Amino acid sequence: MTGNNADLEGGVCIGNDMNLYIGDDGNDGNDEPNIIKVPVNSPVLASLFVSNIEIEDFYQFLEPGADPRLLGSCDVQKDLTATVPTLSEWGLISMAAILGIVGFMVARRRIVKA
Amino acid sequence: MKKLFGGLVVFLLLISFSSGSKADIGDIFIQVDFTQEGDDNDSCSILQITHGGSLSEFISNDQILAVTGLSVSDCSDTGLTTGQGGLVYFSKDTSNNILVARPNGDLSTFVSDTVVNMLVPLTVDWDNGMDINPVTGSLVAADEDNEVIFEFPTNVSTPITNPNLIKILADKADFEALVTNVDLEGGIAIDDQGNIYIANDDNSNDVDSVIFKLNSAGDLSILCTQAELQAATGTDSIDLDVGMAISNKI
Repeated sequence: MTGNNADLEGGVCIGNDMNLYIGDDGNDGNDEPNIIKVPVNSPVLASLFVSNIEIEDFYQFLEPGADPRLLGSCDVQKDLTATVPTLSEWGLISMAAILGIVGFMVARRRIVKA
Repeated sequence: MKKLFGGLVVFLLLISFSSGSKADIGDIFIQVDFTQEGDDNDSCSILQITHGGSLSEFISNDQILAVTGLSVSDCSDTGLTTGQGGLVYFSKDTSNNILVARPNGDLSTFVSDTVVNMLVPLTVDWDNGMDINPVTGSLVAADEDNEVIFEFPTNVSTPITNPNLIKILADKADFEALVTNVDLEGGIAIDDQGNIYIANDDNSNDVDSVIFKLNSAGDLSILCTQAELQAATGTDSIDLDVGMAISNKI
């Protein structure tokens, strides 16, 4: 698939699409990083997801002369839901107090006008 | 009233522009380490790959250096995991701070090694093992030098500066009660019940390359022995040095 001996040092991660992604750093001493995609339920359908040529071409302007290697970890984005802001108990007390003061001021202004 | 309404519209526009996400569900984030000739400790980047295979840089080396204040960064033997709200947590090897990136690409320190080092005798080293507990939302990370599993809350303001907020879930003595050689460099993964699976890489390759299970009650046990891993893989040489992942959908 990659044309090199595999060296799976770049981490493994699974997405919601039930594909396993593997960071392959290539053979020791001849780092040629590839990312391999393996359907979890059909491992025989493993394929080359991103080739070392694509990775090296992508980085040739960002990191000229550097040799990209996959030696860390990976993960797949599964949740972009922003956390919902909530009011704490002190926040609720403060909000009730502020609303009460504002209500009192408005009511007083109306009474004075009348 | 008109002025108030106009101000509100401007405020909402500012919010919508400032929170633009660079990331989508299904995007893959992978640490890329760079070597310049004669230098094995040079730079690091977080590569983002869309579901369709398009490449872009999510976090640059310059961003990492700006946050750490160092002149080099290193993404070899380091951890990365995605969390709630699209946050991406990762470690580097030059300083052992854990950084956090927002979906819009903003980068900051999640916890510094100085704070974590208050809890353990040796300098911490996050070596592949990092995951989010789906039950608690906390970040769990394996420290390969002290052989400790830490838990960090993610619902507090960051960077975490109070070491009392950090929990030790298991330490070296807990692991040594089950195996002789402890080296937590093989990664961790957490299932949807909050059970934590920890790979132990026995460098002497004797009998201790095992996978531990730490359940949500705090009980530590061996899930897979080295003999079981050898039988499953058909090889005598077991080297758990990369990482683990769990699919909760099978």
